[in-house]
Amino acid sequence: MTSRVPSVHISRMTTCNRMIAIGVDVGGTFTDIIVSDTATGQSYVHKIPSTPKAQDLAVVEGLSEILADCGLDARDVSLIVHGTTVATNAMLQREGADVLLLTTSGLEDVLEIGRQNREEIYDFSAARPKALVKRDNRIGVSERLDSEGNPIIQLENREIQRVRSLVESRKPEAIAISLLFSYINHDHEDAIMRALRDIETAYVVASSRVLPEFREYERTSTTVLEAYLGPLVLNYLNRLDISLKAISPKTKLTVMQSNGGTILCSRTHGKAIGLAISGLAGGVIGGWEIAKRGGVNQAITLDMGGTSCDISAVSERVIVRPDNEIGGLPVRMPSVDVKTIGAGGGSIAWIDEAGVLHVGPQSAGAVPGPASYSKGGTSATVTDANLILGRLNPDFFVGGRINLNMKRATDAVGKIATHLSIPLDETALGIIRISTNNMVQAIREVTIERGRDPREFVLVAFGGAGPTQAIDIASSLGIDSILIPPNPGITSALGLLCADLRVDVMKTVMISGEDASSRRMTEILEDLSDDARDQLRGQGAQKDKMELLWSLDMRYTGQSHELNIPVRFKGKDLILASAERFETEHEASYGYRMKDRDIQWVTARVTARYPQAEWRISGPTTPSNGTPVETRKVIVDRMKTVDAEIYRRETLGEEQRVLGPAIIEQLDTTTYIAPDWEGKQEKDGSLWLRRAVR
Amino acid sequence: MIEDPVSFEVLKNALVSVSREMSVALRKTAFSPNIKERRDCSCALFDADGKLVAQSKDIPVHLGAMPLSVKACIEEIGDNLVDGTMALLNDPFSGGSHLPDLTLVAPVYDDEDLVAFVANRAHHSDVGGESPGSMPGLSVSIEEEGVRITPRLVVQTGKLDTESISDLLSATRTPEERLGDLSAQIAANTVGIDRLQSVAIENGWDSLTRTFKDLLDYSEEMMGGRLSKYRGLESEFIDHMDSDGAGTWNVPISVSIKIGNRKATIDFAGTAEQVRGNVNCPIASTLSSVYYVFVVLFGHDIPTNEGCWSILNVDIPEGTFLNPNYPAAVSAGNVETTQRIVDAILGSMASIAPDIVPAASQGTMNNVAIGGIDPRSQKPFSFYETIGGGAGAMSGTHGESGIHSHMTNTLNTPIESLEISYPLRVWRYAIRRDTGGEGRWRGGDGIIREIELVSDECTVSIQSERRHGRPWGLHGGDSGVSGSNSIVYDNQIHELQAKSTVTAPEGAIIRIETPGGGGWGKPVD
Repeated sequence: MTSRVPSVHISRMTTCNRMIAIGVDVGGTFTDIIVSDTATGQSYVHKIPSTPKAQDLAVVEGLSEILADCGLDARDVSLIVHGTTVATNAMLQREGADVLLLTTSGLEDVLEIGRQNREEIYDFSAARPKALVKRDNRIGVSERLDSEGNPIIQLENREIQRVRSLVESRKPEAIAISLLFSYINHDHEDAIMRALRDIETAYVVASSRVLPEFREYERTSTTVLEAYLGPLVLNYLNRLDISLKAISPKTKLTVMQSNGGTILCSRTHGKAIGLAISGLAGGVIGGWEIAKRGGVNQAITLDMGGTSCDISAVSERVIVRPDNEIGGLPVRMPSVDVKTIGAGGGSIAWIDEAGVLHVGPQSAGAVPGPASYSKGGTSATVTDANLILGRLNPDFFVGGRINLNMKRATDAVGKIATHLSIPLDETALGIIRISTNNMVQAIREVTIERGRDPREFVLVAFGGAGPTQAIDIASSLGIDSILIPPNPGITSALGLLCADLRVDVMKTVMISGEDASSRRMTEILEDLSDDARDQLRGQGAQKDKMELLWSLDMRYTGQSHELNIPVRFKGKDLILASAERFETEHEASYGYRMKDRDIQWVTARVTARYPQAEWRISGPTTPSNGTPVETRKVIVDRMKTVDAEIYRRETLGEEQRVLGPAIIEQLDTTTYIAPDWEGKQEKDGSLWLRRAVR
Repeated sequence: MIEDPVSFEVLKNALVSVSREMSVALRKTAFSPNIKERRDCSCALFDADGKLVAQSKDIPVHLGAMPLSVKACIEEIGDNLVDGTMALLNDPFSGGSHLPDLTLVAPVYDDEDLVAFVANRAHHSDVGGESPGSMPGLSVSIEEEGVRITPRLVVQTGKLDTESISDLLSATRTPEERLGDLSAQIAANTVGIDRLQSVAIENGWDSLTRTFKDLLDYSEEMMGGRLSKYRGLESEFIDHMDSDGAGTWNVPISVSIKIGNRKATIDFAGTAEQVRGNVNCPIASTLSSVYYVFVVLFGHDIPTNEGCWSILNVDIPEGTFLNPNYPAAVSAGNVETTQRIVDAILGSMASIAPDIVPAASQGTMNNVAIGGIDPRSQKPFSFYETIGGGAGAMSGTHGESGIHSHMTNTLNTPIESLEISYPLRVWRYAIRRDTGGEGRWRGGDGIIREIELVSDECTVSIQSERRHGRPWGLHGGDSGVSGSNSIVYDNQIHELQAKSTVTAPEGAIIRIETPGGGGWGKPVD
């Protein structure tokens, strides 16, 4: 199944020494690798099946293969950026460590009660995810701070000793410490931490380090997740690091974080939870990177694969939210804003008891796969429908690696058609229309429901299935332009190469009204900045190229949600300026200001980035325009078939235009250009689809 | 049957998304935290007869409660509901729930023809009456609870006519905020009208109105089909409210249910007459509770619309406390009585559909309000919260512990947030172990919450239920332990009534122990 594709040229702006950088993205089905060589400006992509039980096996194997294939010396590899789902998978399968939780006495059950709400309102079972630490392993510590951080009950030495011997007798794999108000005063957490330091076998983390933010449940839950996932994630990364060092001793291994930036592998202790959606962030960054290079400032990235579709709306910059969830549990960690729904090529079409057609969210996955894969699947899927409509080539799907069987597809979709008493072509069109509709609803949620007009965005469609349905989605939303990356199937891996090193630090300050002083706030932000700079420097960053962003979470007193307000300048007017900016933002978001209501400065945040490298993408140098390899009948409407010209993507020349109806096939996807649309291959290798002027 | 199953699925989603987008507009532009953050609001679309077609499912207590409001507007205003107008109401005796819930109804026209309605309901933080917030703890007449608005036109050619709501604006303590929230409600309806028009432009009004009908038929077909499994079965059940807070104890709710051919009859005959206290429940809220149970039992995956309950024949005798007459006090009806109505219906359904009906959950929201002067700022403060408890077990699942059930789902206030904002200190927030009923499947446990007053002379007001009665178990499962309220001061425990208002000194600890859920099936050893 391995193949190598000479691809877009990516080169480093400043070419000095030979440097090879590699992005490795591990997905559910495939591990994607992109290799960029600065000496030649060449880059190569490679795809091999993932090894879910031990992701590092495919990573190491794939790397060795592509380096050998390309004749590159592993010793020249200077950077490997890795996107992994190891944290997410461990969480979904509840395979984390055995954790002991130390908490303020009387509040041992905060972790279990959560916010006392249920996930699904219209369901009697009111099921919610089980607490990761069972009751017996949640230990109350006699100590208490008030809301200003003053001890009301001191943490006595005797109590520390009691806790220590308790821990020694339990021998947990990991320990989470989360005491009330520790984000203001971490003395008690520190004291416990010190007492437990020499218990080497355990992974010990404290909430004041993991997340110095208020709201005890979210802080405790995030800290417990760190303890739960940390040992496993670190173990995986260490193993991978050692294997990679064996091939390439000079290589620096970094990992994509949920926040869309990378972190040096050796610095992930206490930060494992920051990798929660490592595997999703790369796609958004990659899609956005392509958009930016195409001169786009508002993009909807749509990564549609076999089972799911990841969507993000990006304006000017990738949106990083302060929180996220993993396996149903809240994670208060900055995370790229991405919405995942169960819509992919493998999504199954089914009919409910009242005779209405639905598509997904269940998927046939890669095994047994769509009916046309002939791997035992009998359910009609989106891929089967696309095959019947003529959009997919039975002999050139994933570059011919999978033969699609038209008869099996027809049988499966035919069953649905018989049930609905409508013709086969109409059924296939219906499956695509409903699947499209599901994605359109999700896009509406991340645009219209957040006050943004999707028509002002460019749709960046990638993943194996995205480009096949991009025009359906865009038409339904009134979007006129679509951008298809050069190698849609490895966009996530490309995103890894484009990411900066990034550190997010925060601290809840909770200052309001007359207590708010610009000097004090500046000090807090400076302290956080020092911390962030130190963390970046520890990863080899140079100070002069660091970019620091300050922001403040603010609200009106009495509100329970904050707005994040960027701080553009320092100095004595910080408070006044941020207050003014907050009120303007509040008006923009909610339509009003509250006169005479106190403002609270809740949490101070500093984001520090260090650009890894400036990559330039140059297009494939195909001198002449490609010609169609064949024509195929494509069903575009009920009883309406057109002849579509079929092109191969790699043969398209610079600025070549392709009028719809047409289909562009390549190794990792198939792009469908409907009648009334026109495709244009740009110099940089991207393919633009635009609604033709009528 | 449905003529075009593909368009149907697409338009169905589009209509639900219209109601969601109305909700977003409402929450974004509203003033009150109730609407913005607790999401105590709902938006919906109706056909030309006022039948519910699609609804945003934000909060169960509004489920299917608005059709009565729309129908009341059609009845009382009729042809004057011309294009560009909107009508307002909150009267519990003509289509409303409790007074703080204001419902705004707008007609949608295709040229000359009335083709649909859009409406939204939002909980306003003050509509006048005896106490701030318009939810007085011990009211005995609706007149003490705020301004009553029967259906009337308040918007003409898209603009709010402030004259038409002068009574509301003079009665409320916060007129500016009312105007802001009403503007948000107008904005939400405007979004609804615009979006519906644009869906119609794409698909044609004919196809849209056909989808309205198809949708109702579809939900009715699905609900009826699932109900028919229990055809011919019937059952009765009586549950009780602990008290009305004004001198009456053990107030019965009596339900008998008969399942017929693709339909069900729910009869509340035998339920207590309306009471002096404020646990009377307006008919719209009573119906919501009934619809909630049937939607969860049979239709949680079916589009929510009138078709879901057109198969239900609900008889609530007028003059009972579940269908009270003016001037009954109703302010606690929404928060406490609706929970018991759910219990009573579930109790009745338990013998009809034992496999899918859970035992009783805590059956209360444990409303706690504490007010006084904050010594740090010398300013008055007022804190309000509801507390979760045990959920009832069902076949195959233990009841969840420490969670809100049925008609409410509001978040707790984080302890760190609470102590920063109020002169209060939480010493204990714990699962109240072993309070869920024993059984093959155990009921969930309640919660213990202990809050110390760090300010002198605080007023503590509690509205709770299941302090005497216990959340019942099913099929041999035990009942959950009932809840209790007390004040701990100087190491002495002082019991409090289920509904009580007391003044307490600094250092007193308010201890609320919430009920456990009922168990399901005989325990196995």
